[in-house]
Amino acid sequence: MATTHDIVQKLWNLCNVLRDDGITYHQYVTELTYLLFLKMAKETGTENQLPDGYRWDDLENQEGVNQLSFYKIMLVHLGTEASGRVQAIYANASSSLTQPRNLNKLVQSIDELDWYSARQEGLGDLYEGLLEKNANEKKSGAGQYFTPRPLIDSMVELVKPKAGELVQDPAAGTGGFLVAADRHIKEQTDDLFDLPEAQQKFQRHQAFYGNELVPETHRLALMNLMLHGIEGPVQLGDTLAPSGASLPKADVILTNPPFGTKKGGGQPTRDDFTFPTSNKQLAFLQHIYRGLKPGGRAAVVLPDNVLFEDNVGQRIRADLMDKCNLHTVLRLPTGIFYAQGVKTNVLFFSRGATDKGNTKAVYVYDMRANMPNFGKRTPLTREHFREFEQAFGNDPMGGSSRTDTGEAGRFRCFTREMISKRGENLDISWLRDESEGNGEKLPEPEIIAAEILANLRTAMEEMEELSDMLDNGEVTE
Amino acid sequence: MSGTDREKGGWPFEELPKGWCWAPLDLVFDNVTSSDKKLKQKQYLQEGSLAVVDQGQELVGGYTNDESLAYKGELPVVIFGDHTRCAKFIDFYFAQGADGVKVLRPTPLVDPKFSHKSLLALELPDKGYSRHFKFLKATKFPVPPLHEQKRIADRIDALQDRSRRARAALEAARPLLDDLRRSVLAAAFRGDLTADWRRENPDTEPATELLKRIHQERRRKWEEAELAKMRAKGKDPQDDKWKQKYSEPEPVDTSGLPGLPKGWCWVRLSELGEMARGKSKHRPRNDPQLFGGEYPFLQTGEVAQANGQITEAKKYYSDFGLAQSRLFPVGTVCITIAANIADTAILGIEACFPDSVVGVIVDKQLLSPSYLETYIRTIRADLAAFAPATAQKNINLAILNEVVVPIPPEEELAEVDKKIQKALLLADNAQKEVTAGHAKLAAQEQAILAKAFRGELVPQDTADEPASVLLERIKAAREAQKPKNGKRK
Repeated sequence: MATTHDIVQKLWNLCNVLRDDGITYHQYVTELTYLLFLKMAKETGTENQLPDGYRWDDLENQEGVNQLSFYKIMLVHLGTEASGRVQAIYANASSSLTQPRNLNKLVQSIDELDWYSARQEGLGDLYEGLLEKNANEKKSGAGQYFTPRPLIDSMVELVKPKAGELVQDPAAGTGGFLVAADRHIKEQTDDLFDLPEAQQKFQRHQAFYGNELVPETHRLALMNLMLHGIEGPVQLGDTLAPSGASLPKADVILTNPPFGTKKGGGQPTRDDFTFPTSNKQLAFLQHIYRGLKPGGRAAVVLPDNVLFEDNVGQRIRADLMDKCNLHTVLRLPTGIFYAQGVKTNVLFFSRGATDKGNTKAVYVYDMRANMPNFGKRTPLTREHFREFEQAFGNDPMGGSSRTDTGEAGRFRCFTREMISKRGENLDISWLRDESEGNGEKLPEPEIIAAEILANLRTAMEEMEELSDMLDNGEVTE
Repeated sequence: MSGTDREKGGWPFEELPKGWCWAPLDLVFDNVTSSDKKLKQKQYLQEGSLAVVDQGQELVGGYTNDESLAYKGELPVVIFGDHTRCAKFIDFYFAQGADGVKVLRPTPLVDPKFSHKSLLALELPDKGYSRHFKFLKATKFPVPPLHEQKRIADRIDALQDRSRRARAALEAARPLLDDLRRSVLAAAFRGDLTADWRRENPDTEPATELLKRIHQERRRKWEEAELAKMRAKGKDPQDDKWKQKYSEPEPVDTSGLPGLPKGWCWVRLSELGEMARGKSKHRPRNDPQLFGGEYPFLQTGEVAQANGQITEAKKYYSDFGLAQSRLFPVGTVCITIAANIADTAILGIEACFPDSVVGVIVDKQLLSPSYLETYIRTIRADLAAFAPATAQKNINLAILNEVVVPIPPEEELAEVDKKIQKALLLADNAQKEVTAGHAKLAAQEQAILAKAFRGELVPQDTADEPASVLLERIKAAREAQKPKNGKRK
């Protein structure tokens, strides 16, 4: 896909145009999004969803100062008068541009780009490429909404979503998981052509759904999905608020809930959780395993503390292992996320027919110890997951025959009893990390600094809680 | 603390809370320390069937397979370190370790966990390494009603869970800080820290050009000096053959070296300026004639201890001393080549030093003294690898000569130095935060105990039987139990 790459690079360089206007990376990917969408609608022949007079050619035909004023009017109009999806995308859209010549340059550049070789799928890849580049730029902070592609692809490959299944992402971000699941199904069904008409419609309009909390990100998610021919209901909403309970039960859940335990954003306000907690990841975990249909399956990226946190964490894990078969835990390497310093895992589980004793044993794969230091110089790739994928096996429910590799290997089996004895602690490791302190093998400074910061923050938070508890004399979980 | 009654000193309250009473040590604990069943530290094993508990900070000091040494009484017990004053709650079978271990079994007067917390809360005078148990014996213990004790102990445990987590996080940060410093330096010498600068300044003259000019300059100087020498001897060269005596430095073989960013190049240490061993020709080395003057003289060890910069000397050469040595200027980078290999420090004062130290006077166009010193510090472990594994580790000048240093373009150099200083400062600040965190945590933990022992941690329940009542019952039971031979149970 060399052509797509060239376009991505060119589009990325277009940011210099906007930088003159004093626009941040995040602002300009949004700006580019508004324009690209119009151009893409023309290229894909879907302009009828845009009101007459507010389409690419209408913008392109304007000149000089008029173009910028028309553009601004256009954004407002599309955000209020257009229908359904388009309106959702342009809702509250406003331009950060102030110089007419910048808009001129942008529109011209976009018009000049060689769209011929980049058809609908290609355009979608281009968009995802843009999002990834945006995530790579530390300063934008957009990285927190982007899960690395190789990880998503691996999870989808193992969970194997099928046509006809309801696939949910309750923390959709920019839509990466849903797009990947859709891609997987399209590969299996010759781009949906193998499916009868009604099923194709289902795939397009219902199969993929979820929530995203942040309006700016939601916009990008909608665009991303649309460019891949997905029009399922991804709402602007908070899964941890009461409305989250109304998300329909799923056959498959693939997600990476946001990291961090920021106190701002408040407590989850949902009241249907059995175990109320202020820990957002624990709250998401509850939503997920309760939101699966019997026989449904999930793969979720969660930080270490979900695996070992005591008290309510312990109870939630016990409940999870009762109601679901938690068959696999993958310990992910550090340095792969744009939110640096986080230690994460993927939990693979399926909902049982009954509510008790569904987990008999958990296989843990350690992909964290003795791995290269991932970062800009060593990017994570799909290859890094091959060994794990082989060990996982072909059964998306985790039922493939597996071998415990013993203490020297990366894949080991732990029975439910063993885990019970540890207080339901799933933070299990056995490999000694041999990466010694040679300057060349050290992670990059930013990564270490972020980890130090994360540790300091944890310590501070715990001490603050401690202070509170001392002062108020109340027992918090 | 109530200063008047020394027996009751060491507790964080003035008045005994309601329902509490005082009790002497022997009513709170039975001293069940064994005098003969113990194990010396050098007998500890890494693994075994029986844990050995001593007065160290770790819960378990080691293991043994000798079951005959096991404590056979009731559990749980509290282990008190006579020297270290540590107190540990032990609810598993163990053997006593080393010396100074006191095994105390809580009596029915106290909740075992609470009794352990008491020892944690008690402030015993710090007598260094001498014994503290006698102070314990002289102390009276505050005893709340039994149910309240349990509530207090549970509450303290819940709070300590949090502080344990905080401590773990701070502990995790400790090695990371070292890693951070090393990573920053490695990144600096790879040119990573100035990548942005290079992007914004694409047309700087590469270091190779500067190096070429410097080589030419040196050659020229050498020719001048040679010419002057020859003329002084009355000779005047007829041709240029004598110029060929000059040995142009060999280009560096970069095949095994890591790649460098644009404009950087590898330069041998010996070409970075003037590199020379220190001098101290006279023997004996400690001849008093040499000293007593005003020329600072440094020993090898002082370079290592200087922490990067030498600002003062302990000894001074006299004129006689100077004559058999050489005074190096401020800014010289000193590198040790014996004893502590490749310790480095920059001279903040002029100084003489012996031949176990090499001084490098850098050509400031190429690099700054601090740049070189930092670089050598970064690759130090590798340098030491070149020393033969003898008792007296030595690397020689020839090896040091061949050390290669990555040199950025002149304009970028200042930027690199700046970035290094900034990053190390950040690391220092982070270090301070961690230390402060530890201090705060320790203070918090003491505050928890203090609050507990003021009776403020958990609410009191007036329905609880006052401690004094239980105390009387126990005293009475003891009296009744005293066997006729006078020995304790």
